[in-house]
Amino acid sequence: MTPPLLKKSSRISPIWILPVVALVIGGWLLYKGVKDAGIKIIVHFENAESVVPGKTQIMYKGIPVGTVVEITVDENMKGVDLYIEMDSRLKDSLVEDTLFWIVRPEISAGKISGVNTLFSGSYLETRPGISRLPAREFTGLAESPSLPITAPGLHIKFNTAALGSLQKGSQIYFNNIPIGSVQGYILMSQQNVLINAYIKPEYAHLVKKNTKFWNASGITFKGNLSGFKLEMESISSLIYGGIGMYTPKLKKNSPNAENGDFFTLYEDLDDSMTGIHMTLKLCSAEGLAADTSRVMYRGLKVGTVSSLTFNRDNKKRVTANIIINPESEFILREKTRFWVARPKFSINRIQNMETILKGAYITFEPGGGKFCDDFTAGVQPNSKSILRQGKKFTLVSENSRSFSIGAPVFYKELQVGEITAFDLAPGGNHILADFLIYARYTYLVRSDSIFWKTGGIHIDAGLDGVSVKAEMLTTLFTGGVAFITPGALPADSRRPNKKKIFHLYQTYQKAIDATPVLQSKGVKIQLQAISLKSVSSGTPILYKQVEVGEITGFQMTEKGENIILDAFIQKKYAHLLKTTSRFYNASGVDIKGNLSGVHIKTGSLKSIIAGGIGFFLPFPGEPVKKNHSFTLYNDYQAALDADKIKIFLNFASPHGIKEGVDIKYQGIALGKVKKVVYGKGMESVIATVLVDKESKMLFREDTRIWLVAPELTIFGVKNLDSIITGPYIALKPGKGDPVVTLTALAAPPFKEEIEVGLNIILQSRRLGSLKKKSPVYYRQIRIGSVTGYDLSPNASRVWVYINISPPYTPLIRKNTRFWNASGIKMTGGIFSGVKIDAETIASIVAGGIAMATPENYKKDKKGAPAADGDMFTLHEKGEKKWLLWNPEIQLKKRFQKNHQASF
Amino acid sequence: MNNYKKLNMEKNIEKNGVGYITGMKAGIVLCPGCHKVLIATEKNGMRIRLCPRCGASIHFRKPDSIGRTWALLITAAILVFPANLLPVMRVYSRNVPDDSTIMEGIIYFFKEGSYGIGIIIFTASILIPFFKITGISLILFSIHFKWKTRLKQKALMFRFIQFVGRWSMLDIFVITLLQAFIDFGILSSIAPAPAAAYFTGVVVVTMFAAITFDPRLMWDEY
Repeated sequence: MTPPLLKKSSRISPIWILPVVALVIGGWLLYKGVKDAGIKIIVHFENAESVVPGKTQIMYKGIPVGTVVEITVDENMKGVDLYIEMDSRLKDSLVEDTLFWIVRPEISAGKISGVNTLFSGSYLETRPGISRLPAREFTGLAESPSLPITAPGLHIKFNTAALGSLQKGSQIYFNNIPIGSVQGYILMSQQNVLINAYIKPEYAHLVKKNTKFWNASGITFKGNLSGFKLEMESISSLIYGGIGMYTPKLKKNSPNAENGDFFTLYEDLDDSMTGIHMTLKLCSAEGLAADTSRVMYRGLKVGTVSSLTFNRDNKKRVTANIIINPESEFILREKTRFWVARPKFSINRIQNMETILKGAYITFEPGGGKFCDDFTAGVQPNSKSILRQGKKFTLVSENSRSFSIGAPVFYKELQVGEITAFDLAPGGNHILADFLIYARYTYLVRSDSIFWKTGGIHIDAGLDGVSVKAEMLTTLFTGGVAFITPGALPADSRRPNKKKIFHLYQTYQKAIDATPVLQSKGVKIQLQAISLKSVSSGTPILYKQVEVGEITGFQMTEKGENIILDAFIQKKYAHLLKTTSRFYNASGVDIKGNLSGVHIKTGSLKSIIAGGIGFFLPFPGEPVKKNHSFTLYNDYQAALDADKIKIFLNFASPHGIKEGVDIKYQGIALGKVKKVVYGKGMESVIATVLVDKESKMLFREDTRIWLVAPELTIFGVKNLDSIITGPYIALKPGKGDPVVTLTALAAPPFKEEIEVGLNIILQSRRLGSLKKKSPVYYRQIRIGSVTGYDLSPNASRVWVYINISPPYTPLIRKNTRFWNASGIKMTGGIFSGVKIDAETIASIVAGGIAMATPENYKKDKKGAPAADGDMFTLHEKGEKKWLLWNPEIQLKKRFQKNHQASF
Repeated sequence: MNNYKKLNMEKNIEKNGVGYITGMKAGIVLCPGCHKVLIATEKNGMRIRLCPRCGASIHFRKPDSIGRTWALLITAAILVFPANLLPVMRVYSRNVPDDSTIMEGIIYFFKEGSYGIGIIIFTASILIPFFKITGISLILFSIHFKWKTRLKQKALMFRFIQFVGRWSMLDIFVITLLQAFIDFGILSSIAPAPAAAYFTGVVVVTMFAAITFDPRLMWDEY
């Protein structure tokens, strides 16, 4: 039974497009899969460390071109076979010389590479070959290969003895720009390494046939006494090693290098600059060293000694192989004379001082002739070609001391010429030295010019000691000649000087002595000394460390007890000298040490070495005349103390008394203890004190002195200042005739006497807690203080000395009552409670005296003002009614505002 | 209709609980939009008519259902191959791409010990698409060859296919979510690979196949 109304559609539903589309897609995918199916290849490696099958990719120029599918160990277990599926696009590139290598992260001291593989894991890198023969089996390289020779750019080779820190990938730098890299190296023989390098095409033109290459690896440190040199190409060259290059300026136009050119790789930049080789036969290579010894010409380096070898000739000499800078080629001539400059020492002179520091060097005098590169070293010629314009003169000298070629000629310590040659005069009696005065200075040399030797160190040894004298520091090493032309020089320098030969004095002194014109004007005086000490002829006389004259000679007095020194003061300083001047020996170093410190006293540096005499003016005096005689004191202090007065102080105990202790009056030092000796019977010490003349009147019969030393007791610290400054001797002037001998008190005087104010005496049964400086109060205001206390002459009472300060003196009347206000008074009863009574807080601690004056002081005769020395009774305690007294007393005007500060 | 046939039919009716007279036979058609019951007249009941109530087009059966379903099924069957053979996901780990097919992913999860996730992905990505294709094919074949057995189970299976179809997109969701979540630049990132598109095609096409198929066709031959 079929439904008649249903009719089937005859046309095909458009939905059938879908499977057709799917089929097309599927078919296309299938086709693509078949077409792009990887090419299976096998690459053999030593090991397949960090290669993961299915993951590790083959990269070419940074893009993946294949994947490692499988890894198997090869048949004889010697390596591994990597089954790789390569991108089908590389079909044509897989030829027999296609290269494969594994890129792994590599970090070592010298190299960091494959950093990207740290993240991505290792991968294989490939480089297509150039062969046409397809291959499917390859052998992998152990490391990345060098660039193929076909790569555009410049492929060059280096010869070097040692590889240094160069390695594959080390950069080649030109002006610090990397222009290429080392591609590989091979050990050709035991002493030859061949390095392949590649220069990028854009820089290839920089490399010329004459370009020099040097190993710029790491840091080059070359040091010797003449300085040091630090070279580093770049930080990366420090790690990777590197090669530097430069093309000598003169050879910039040489043809460009070509592929396969060989270059020498020099050890360093200096090495690469080498020029012409020459040999020099030497008697001895003493002081010379390979690589560091230089060839110098007039202070310039023109070459280096590269090696020193032993000669096999019959004289067994030494040959120095020298490399001369190319620019200095002109020196290699037949007549050039070479010699070695070495330091020379002699008793009076040091020659070639600089060679002590820098080592010996080879120097030469250029000559003419044909080219020659083999020389024999000779001795230094005593002449020198004249290079500057000037006039030549000759000196006659007794010896050749302090002569050297090129030694300067000074005029007023300015170099105006140089010594050009010196030699023995015919006959050998003396030396003839030629010197050149530069053209613009020739007028300085007149017929009466005096020449003397300068420079070097003069050591004059004699009975009076050894004196070492050095001239200008520059001439210390080179020696030299100085001259002076007395009289006015003619402004007209055209007038020629006929005289050609001069005598050369050995020292300035000798020149002066022989030439009266040169002797300077001044005042001659005499100094009397007990001993010569380090003073000798030539010792300078200093005034405020300025040299104003010198000792010219000395002689002994007839009896032989004193020495009389002849001194000379220059004219311009003569006015400094007065009859009152005091001279002292300023030589050497004076060290005095004790507990209170160390004193080091020196004169000027020069006077330490050479000795010296100083003088000063203690007070004005008359101008001196010729041959005035002075005393030469042993030292400055002695000179200072020369007019001081000696006072002898007798101390019972030597404790605290020592040299240098001050004697002070009212805090101001009068003088110092000069020396301490034992008195008679060793019972006391006698201190000798030096005081100024002006203080003499302080030392009289009644003058009391005592030692003030720091005191730490339960009552407090006394004389705090003496802790720091040390003990000192205090002085209280008294009346009487002046004396020079005094006996010190064992202790400070118990009573202090104050001149101002009112000094009165209070009588008491007991001292209580009163002590020195305890206050005296009136209405609780401090009006005075206790100055001292003592037993009354019959010992029945205590006498308390008090001093009332000036404005308050009218308060004290004959009937004034005094009572002891020390401490606390406490009274107590059952009904009245406790009553505590104290004058002031201070008086609780320090003790004190209170006072009161009756109101009726005016009526009563007893109320008259008190006078100095009046006696009062000091009551134990005050009566109540005293406190109620309320007298009106006119105080004195305060003429001294801060008087109370003296309490 | 002979006796045997009739007997057989009655058996079937008893067994499957289906009425002998279908709506189509009775000239009654149901509006798919508003479920209005319409009487198909001689004049108009033959082909398409619009529902007088909601305007939906009315058919006794979905037009060309079997043909369209077949076409879609065949499309799905073709797409299944690239979907499962090509890599579905590309994981860039430290910039090194690592492709994996659906099955490789599942194996990976099993190897890692994540059996739960492995089973879920296996079910959603392998089992269900194959089940859908084979299930609908089976129903279509049974209609074509008039296999009358187990119609009730087949109907149940078809409803299950309809329900479960959308879950096959799970794998695609996972890939898109991973692409969004795992994007750590050079360290790690994830991108969909070509198979993802084919797989989506399989899922979509099978879903459409389930829609175009009219299950009532199964019963029409009784």
